[in-house]
Amino acid sequence: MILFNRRGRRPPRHTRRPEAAPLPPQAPVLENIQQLGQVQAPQMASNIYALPIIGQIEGHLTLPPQNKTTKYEHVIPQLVAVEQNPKIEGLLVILNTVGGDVEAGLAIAEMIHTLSKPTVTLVLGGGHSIGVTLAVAGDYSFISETATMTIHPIRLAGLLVGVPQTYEYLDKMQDRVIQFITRHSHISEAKFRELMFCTGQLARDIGTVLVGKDAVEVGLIDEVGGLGRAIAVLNELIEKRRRGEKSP
Amino acid sequence: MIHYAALPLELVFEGCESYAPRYLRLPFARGWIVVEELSPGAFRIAQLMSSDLQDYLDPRFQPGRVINLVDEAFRAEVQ
Repeated sequence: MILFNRRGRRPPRHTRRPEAAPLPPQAPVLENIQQLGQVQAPQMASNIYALPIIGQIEGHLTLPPQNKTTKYEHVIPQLVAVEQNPKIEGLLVILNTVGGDVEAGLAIAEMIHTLSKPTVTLVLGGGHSIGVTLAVAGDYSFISETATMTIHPIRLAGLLVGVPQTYEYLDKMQDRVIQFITRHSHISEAKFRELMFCTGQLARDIGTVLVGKDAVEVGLIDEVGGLGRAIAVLNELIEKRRRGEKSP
Repeated sequence: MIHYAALPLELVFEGCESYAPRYLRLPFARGWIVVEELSPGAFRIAQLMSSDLQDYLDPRFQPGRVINLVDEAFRAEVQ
């Protein structure tokens, strides 16, 4: 790789070395601990690709740095690569998200749903707002016992003009989300709307918080479970696919 | 853009007026890496544009990773 300076030209040889002493190259393990808070695990070939979706789902706008984000422009080609890579046989989506951009969230959810390889989703911690669409996008969904999902209406944000059409526009956006969720889970549209507009559950908002098994009881998620069960189900689905059976 | 999140929007968008990151587009063998300048020499990967899809599965190109461009190791890594 050749690195260029800001004018697009390669700097002359005598200026290529910066005056300040370069930071000593760190061992990858040390760098991993500092940057990511994790150590490198021993490499073993796995046929499962784990895709963590954390923080805010970032779409068309770059969010200020206090947000932890999952960038959709990276996740989308990642999903295409998962679909194409013959070594990857299944996808495990791990969710701990507060929500984010509707378009980006729906785009990722549609990609996960249309992936031809078996996909299992696992909600840990939280899968709120647009995260609900991602949680139901796979072939089978799990929620951990203590994880929560918040279902609430879309609020007004950004450059929108306060005219009656604004309400219709928001309503349409909300419909896209509701349609996706009801099509890909066992919850009915009426029940979902009821949860969405419920009062008395959230302190400053309308909506509902579903904890672990509540999400399964209303039909949003398939099963309460953790990592072990999620991998077991994914392996089962992979086996089924190998035998030529269709996944659910 | 419609933002649909459980966090208060004021909290999400706080500081967005003053946040003006400086991006650089670094060429590499299969495309570009867009990086955000943190301090002289230190950059955070913001976006990957590669013609090889498998690069997107490579943790070395993961957005958010902080790289040091004077660090020869990174240059050798992405060659």
